[in-house]
Amino acid sequence: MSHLMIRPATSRLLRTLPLRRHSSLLRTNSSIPPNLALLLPTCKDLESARNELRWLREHVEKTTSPAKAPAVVTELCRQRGQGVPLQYILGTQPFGSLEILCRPNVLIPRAATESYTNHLLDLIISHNVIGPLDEIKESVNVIDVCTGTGCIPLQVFASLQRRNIMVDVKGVDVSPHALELAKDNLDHNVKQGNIASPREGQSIGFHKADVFRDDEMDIFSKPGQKTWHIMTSNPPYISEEVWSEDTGDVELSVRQHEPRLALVPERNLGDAPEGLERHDIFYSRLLDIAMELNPRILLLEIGDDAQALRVAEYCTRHPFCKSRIIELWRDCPDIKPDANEQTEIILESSDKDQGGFGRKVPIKGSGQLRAIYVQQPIESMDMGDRKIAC
Amino acid sequence: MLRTLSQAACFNSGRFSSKGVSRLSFTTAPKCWLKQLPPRPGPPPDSEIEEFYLKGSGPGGQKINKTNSAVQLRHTPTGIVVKCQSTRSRDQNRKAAREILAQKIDEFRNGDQARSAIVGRIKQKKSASADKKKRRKYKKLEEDRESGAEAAVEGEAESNLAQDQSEPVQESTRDRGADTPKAIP
Repeated sequence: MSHLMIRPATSRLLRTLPLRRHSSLLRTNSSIPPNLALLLPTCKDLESARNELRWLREHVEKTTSPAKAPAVVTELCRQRGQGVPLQYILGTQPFGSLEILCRPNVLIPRAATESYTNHLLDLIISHNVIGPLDEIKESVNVIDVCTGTGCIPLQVFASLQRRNIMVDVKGVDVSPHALELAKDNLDHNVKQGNIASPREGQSIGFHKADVFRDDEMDIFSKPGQKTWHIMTSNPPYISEEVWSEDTGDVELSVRQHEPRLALVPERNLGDAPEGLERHDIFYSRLLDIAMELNPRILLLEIGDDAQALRVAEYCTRHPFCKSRIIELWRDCPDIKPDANEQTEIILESSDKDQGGFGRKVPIKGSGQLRAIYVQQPIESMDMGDRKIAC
Repeated sequence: MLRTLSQAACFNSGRFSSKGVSRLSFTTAPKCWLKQLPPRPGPPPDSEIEEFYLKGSGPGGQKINKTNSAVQLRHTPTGIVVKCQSTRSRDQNRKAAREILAQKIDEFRNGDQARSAIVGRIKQKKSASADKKKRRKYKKLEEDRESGAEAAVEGEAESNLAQDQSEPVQESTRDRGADTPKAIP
């Protein structure tokens, strides 16, 4: 580069060069471009800052006129650098085959949620965990509690619909913002062609209900109601202490911009049963609801290893999990575990049926413990008089 | 896409009727290229691919909001590792990583007969001939100008204009020449 600089012809040369090279010539000492430098406080490392800058540029190219684009990119980099989530800036987050709209007041879908949803779908479609799909006489009935953007039920619906499976999916949330966004997400993905308009025998809907109010949850468990095949939930699971203390446990961007309602169980929800902590309160309630709905599969997201073990141990004592398979899933349940990652754990059980011995729980995948999976054994499913081999 | 289709048609021409082939090959690319290009290598079977979980630091789940969606794959028989983080979607990165892996395996196994090597050679040839043409053009322009300046005095204004326009271009070709003096084989 040096041979280009400080020559009589330089000023003339600069006038004729495109802007990009022009600025790189003028900038002598700083090795990090200014937009990247703006992103660094949030992104922490150059690699992810470069990725985010590229995505921001692509977004601006699509939405702004070329003349204004550079200024808009810089402004968005500034916002991102101050901690505004990238998904709120861009307005979307990819989730499986879908594009999920994101707005403040509703939790942004996480990669781990995408991973276990896809793994669950793989089990249902390729491994018959709710029985062979063509032998299910009614539709496959799915309920997602604390649905937020609706990402889980939408992905389940899209995936089963594509295989011409009859499916009825319900998303439940207490937040009106979430319900509005979930409905918009259905419309958005139909418009994008990621979801076909529901055909006969296929339906998806979002309903307002408070998980802790029996009268609002009863409509899903009325006597004579169809069988529920799958129940999923990604409930609030962060403790108030971790949320409010500045330990760096909760990312600043999350604390400042994402809704507390979706992340921290409120204090007025009551005390957790023995063996659980206050912020595990949703799990005991969800297991009680599962008792009523009796789904063949229950899949619950959990916060960290300690919470996973507490909840799994509570599960072994809960009547819903009696004679059901319990598994723990890591962040990526379909990836082979590291050499130093445990693949099973023995939980102390006070259940008399277990004779006071520990219960062996398999751990699937790689990463941190992220979900608890409870499944009815395939042999015991009521599928007519035919025996089903796994 | 069209090109891939017509390639497929060329390669299987024995099975296609001549009518079918002629209907498919309406691309502007010269026919000689199409014949040379082998088909795009398909990704290896999933049983030969090992995917890594790329750990971020600190806690996960709701507590943090990572935007990193990088996917890293390893092809167990050859040990080739590829990483893809071009999009925000893990699904799309997975697909892209498999395509890159297929290309690397093709290069590893077929060397200079791999598709990417053949495509590279064609591109190199094309840009070399474009460069040659360009150099010839400016050489001629300069010669014309020099001979013009010697011969005619009355066309001064016009030749000044031509000089103005050609100067930045000259500068850049000279730069390139200095960087890579023998780039063209």
